[in-house]
Amino acid sequence: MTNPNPPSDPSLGNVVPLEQAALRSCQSGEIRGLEGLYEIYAERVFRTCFRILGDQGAAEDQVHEVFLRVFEQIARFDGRARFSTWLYRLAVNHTLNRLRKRKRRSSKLVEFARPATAPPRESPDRALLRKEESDQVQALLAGLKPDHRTILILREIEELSYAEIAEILGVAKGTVMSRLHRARQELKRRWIQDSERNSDHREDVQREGRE
Amino acid sequence: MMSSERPRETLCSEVEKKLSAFIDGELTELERLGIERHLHDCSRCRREFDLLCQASSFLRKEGRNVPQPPAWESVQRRLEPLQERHKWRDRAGLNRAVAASIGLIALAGLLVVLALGDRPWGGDGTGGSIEASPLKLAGLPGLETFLAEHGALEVDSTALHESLSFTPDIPEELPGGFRLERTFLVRDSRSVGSCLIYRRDDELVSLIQHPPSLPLSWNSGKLLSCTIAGRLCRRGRDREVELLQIEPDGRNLTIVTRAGTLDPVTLVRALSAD
Repeated sequence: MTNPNPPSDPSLGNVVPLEQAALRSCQSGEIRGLEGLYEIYAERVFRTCFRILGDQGAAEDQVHEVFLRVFEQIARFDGRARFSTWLYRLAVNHTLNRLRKRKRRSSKLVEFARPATAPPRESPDRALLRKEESDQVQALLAGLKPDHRTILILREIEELSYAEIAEILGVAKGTVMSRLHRARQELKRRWIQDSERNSDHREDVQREGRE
Repeated sequence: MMSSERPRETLCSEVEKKLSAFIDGELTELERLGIERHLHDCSRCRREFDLLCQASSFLRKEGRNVPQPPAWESVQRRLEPLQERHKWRDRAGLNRAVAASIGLIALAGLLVVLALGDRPWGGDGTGGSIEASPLKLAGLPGLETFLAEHGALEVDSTALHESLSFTPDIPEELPGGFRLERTFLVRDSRSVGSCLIYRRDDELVSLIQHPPSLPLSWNSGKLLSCTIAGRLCRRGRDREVELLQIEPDGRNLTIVTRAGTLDPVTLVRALSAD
C-alpha cells in the first residue's frame, strides 16, 4: 500500500563528473562547456518546456532560449543549489513567462498546434495509439491551470523531490504538498472525464493493432 | 447512526487531503500507518486513492513520451551573434565594475586615512617613523611575505570587509570564474588600500588595488607582477590606464587596455617610467 517514490535518477551517478567538467568549462565562457550541459540536460529541458507549452515548435524555440540564457547567466550560478535545480528554475520561469505573454496576445486557450510525433519505425496502428495517448496527455495538461500543470510535470514526469520542486518554484515545501494535492484532484477529475469519452475509441484501435 | 458516521466523514476528508503526499511517500511513519489503516477499512477512500494513482500513473508513463529535442547545432547557430555581443558587453561591464570598485576603495581609503589622523602611516608622503605590525593572513600562505616585501606594514582583515562586504559594486566575479572570497585592508608607509582575494577552486588570486606602492598581484604564491587598478598612481604624478578586460589564461592574467594587450610587467614598467 505504501508508495515510496524516490525521485533520484540512477543515471546521475555517471552524469555528475561530466556535469562538473562541462559546468566549469561553460563558466569559463567556453561553448563546448555549454554543449556538454546541453547533451546532459536538453532532453529534460525540452520535455518540461514541451509539456508546459504543449507545442513542439514553441518548445524547440524555448529550449534555444533557455540554453542561451544559461550561457549568459552561468556566472550567477554559485553552486549552492544543484545545477539541475538552477536549470529547471530558469527553464520553468521563462517558459511560464512565455505562456503568460502568449495568453496576453490571444484570449484563446492554449493551442496545441503540433502534437508529439512518433518514431518512424513504429507500426501505423501503434503510432496512432501512441499519438492519441500523447495527445490525451497534452489535452489533460492543457485543461489545468499553469501552476497545477507545472507542478505535476515536475513531480510526475520529471520525478523531482518536493524539496527540489520547492526550490525551483520558490515556494515552501508545504505549498508544494498542498498545490500537488489540488493539482492531482483536478487531474483525476479530467482524467475520468477524458477516459470515459475516449475509452471506446481506444479499445477499437488496440483491437485493430492486435489483429 | 448519524453520530457514528460523522467522525468517519471527518476522517475521510482528512485522509483525502493527505492522499497526494501518501502517494509520494512524504508522510511521517505515523501518518502513513493511519492512512493505510483507513484505506483498509474505507472503500470510498480506497477508490479515491486508486483513481489518483491511475491518473498519476498515466501522466507519469505517457508524459515522458515526447519528440527529441532540437540538435545542438541549432543552438550553436543562435549562439554566434550572442558571443559577439558578449565580448563587447563583458568589456564594457567589467570596465564599469572596476571603475566603480576603484572609486569605492579610494573612498574607503580616504575615510580610513581621515580616521587615522596624524598616525605615522597616515599619509604625509614622507614615510616618517613607522611602527610595523605583523602581517597575519590565515589560510593564504605566501601572501603576507609578498605584501611585506613590497612595503605593506599591516593587514586588517576586518575593516575593509565590514565596509565593503555589503557594497554591490565590488566585482563579485572575475572572468574565468574567480569569485570574490575575502577583502583586506592593506597599509603601507604612506596610505591605505585594499586587497581583494578571489578564488577559483583551489586557486587564489589577490588583487591589490591600492596603495600605489603595491601595484602587484599574487596568485597562489606565484607573483604575477600585475595590477588590475583602473588607475595607477605614482607619488607626485598620476598616470591613468583605462582597463578594458582581464583575461585569466591558465594561472596568468592578461591585461587588455586601449593601447592593446600588455603583459603585466610591461604595464607596471610603463607606469613607473618618468
